[in-house]
Amino acid sequence: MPLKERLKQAPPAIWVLLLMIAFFASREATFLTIGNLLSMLRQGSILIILCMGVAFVRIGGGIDLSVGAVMTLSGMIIAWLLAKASMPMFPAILLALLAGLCLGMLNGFFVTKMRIPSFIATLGTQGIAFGISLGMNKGYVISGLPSSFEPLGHGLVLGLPIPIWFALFAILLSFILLNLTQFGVYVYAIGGNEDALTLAGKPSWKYKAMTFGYAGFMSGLAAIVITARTMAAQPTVGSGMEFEAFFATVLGGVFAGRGGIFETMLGVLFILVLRNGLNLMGVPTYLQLAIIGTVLILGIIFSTIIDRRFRR
Amino acid sequence: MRTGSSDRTTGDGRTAPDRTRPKGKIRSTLLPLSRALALFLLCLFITILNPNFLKPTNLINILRQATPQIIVALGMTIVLLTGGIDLSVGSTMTFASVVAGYFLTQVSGLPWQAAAAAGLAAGAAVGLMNGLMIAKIKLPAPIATYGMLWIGRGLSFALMGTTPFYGFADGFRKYGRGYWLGLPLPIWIMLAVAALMIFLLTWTVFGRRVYAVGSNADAARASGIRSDKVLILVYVLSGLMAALAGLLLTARMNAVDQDIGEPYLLPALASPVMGGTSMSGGEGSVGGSIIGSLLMVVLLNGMNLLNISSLWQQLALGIVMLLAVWLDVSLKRRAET
Repeated sequence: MPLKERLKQAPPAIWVLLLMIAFFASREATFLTIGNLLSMLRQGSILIILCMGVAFVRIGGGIDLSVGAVMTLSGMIIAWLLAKASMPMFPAILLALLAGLCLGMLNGFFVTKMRIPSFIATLGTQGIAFGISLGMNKGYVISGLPSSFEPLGHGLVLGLPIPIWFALFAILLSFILLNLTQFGVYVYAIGGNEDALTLAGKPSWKYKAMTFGYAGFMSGLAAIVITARTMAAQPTVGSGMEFEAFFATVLGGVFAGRGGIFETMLGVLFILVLRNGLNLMGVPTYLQLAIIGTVLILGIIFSTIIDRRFRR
Repeated sequence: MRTGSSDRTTGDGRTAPDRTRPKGKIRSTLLPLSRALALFLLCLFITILNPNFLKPTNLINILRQATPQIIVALGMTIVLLTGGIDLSVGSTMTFASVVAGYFLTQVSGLPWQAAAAAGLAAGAAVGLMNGLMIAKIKLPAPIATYGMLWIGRGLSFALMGTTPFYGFADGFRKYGRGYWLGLPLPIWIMLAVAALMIFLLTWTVFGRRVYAVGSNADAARASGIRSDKVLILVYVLSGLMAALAGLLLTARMNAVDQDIGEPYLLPALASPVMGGTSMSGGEGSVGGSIIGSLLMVVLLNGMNLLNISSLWQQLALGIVMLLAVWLDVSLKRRAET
């Protein structure tokens, strides 16, 4: 679909986003600079990666509230392997990705085979993953990671910070999977009409489980970035990330069977711009929580009402 | 109470084939018993491992620990009965406690009753917002209440910052640690709330409407029930109960911090479901939710007695909740086929 068509169908969030950009640009001179854009993207790379996974689940008709906890647990695992078991870097990274994938597939199993509603299943997985993260090191931070790991969080390649490259990789991979492969077609079909897909003789539960697995895999990828950026693993670091990822997709207009990578990025930018602008204006962190929560829920109410009018 | 809806109608309002009726009847009489049996077996198991479990002080302690959870779970029960869900209860507990704490410690010359009333009003206001979003704007309940969770959390931060409020008036603290006729006051309050809920759900028109909206929304509308009014009231009740639970906890701890309510969300969801309340609405009872809550609290108390670190409790709660929901879903499917 050409971009112009997409913009016409784009959710009202995009107009709010432009309004916000104009507002922050008029208040803070530093807002519209390349440096600020880069720092915004670097800070947002983790959210971008998580959202790519959540988008698959949303398009497949589910909700994933476990990505923050899965990211935390993968981060704890990677830090434990590197610092306590002194494992070389690449096997540790692979194991963390595998852990994320397994937890995601566990979600998929709960939802498809045990038939638990997805937001309850993933809330349960959230409890399990946070529980293990807290229990495995008695609630303490794991630090003392080898310095060879640090470039992944702070290094530059071709002038761009490596976390941004991770995010670009996630976006590209998700775009290819969603738009150019058979799997992507099935993901949209599950969200649109799961029964029809089953009647057509396809194992729709397998593809549905795979959307959750992909979200888990992306959480593992995000875990690498966040662990390398802080050079430590905190057992509560991902708390709240699932909320931002979930609302980014909802705000961008990613629903069962509709939306895509473009809409997801729109929602992510909405949150990143809001957070970055509030930071620049010096709003204290605890007030930011209230403001972001209120703006998001108002944004969703607003776009739901507009959407309904539009459809009538 | 349960027989009206549980035997004949399935979750999505279809009528099940006749031949399943006897099976359904056996199921609906056996299931509450099986939960009480599970509670009994769990208690027996822990007693064998550690006889201290059966001491009256420990049993009273368990009941007192269970009090906030039972009250939140009863609020959640009535929401689940309408087929909805309230993910904001934990943050509402915190918010209401913070509001009460603010008036108790930061505003001088105010009687503690006014502060407690302000806390309850804050909870009811959150519930009202939830209800309006769900009944009027027609947002899906998980989305609306999950958004509210974060608004409540942000407002608590905005009101309190990061330093806890502590040191409350004695009149207020009495409701957390006082005794009456040998039993702690919070337990009496919990019993009163449970009795009120049973009365509300069993003997009033409102109660019948809650079940009607939950078991078949179309039929309820066809028979002239304004489901939006019922829904709003249900979420207000849930917010109010969460606030009450938060205040009792605050009075007992004599302090409020940012994390006071959050750990209660998972148990509040799991307890009603473990007690036989259906996720798809129209089916469930007050007694079941209390047994469900006790199951979880006894489990946690047992873990404490057996010296299992509290850091693992979240893991245990997650697993227990998943198993409970899975049991509910699979039993329902068996009844349908």
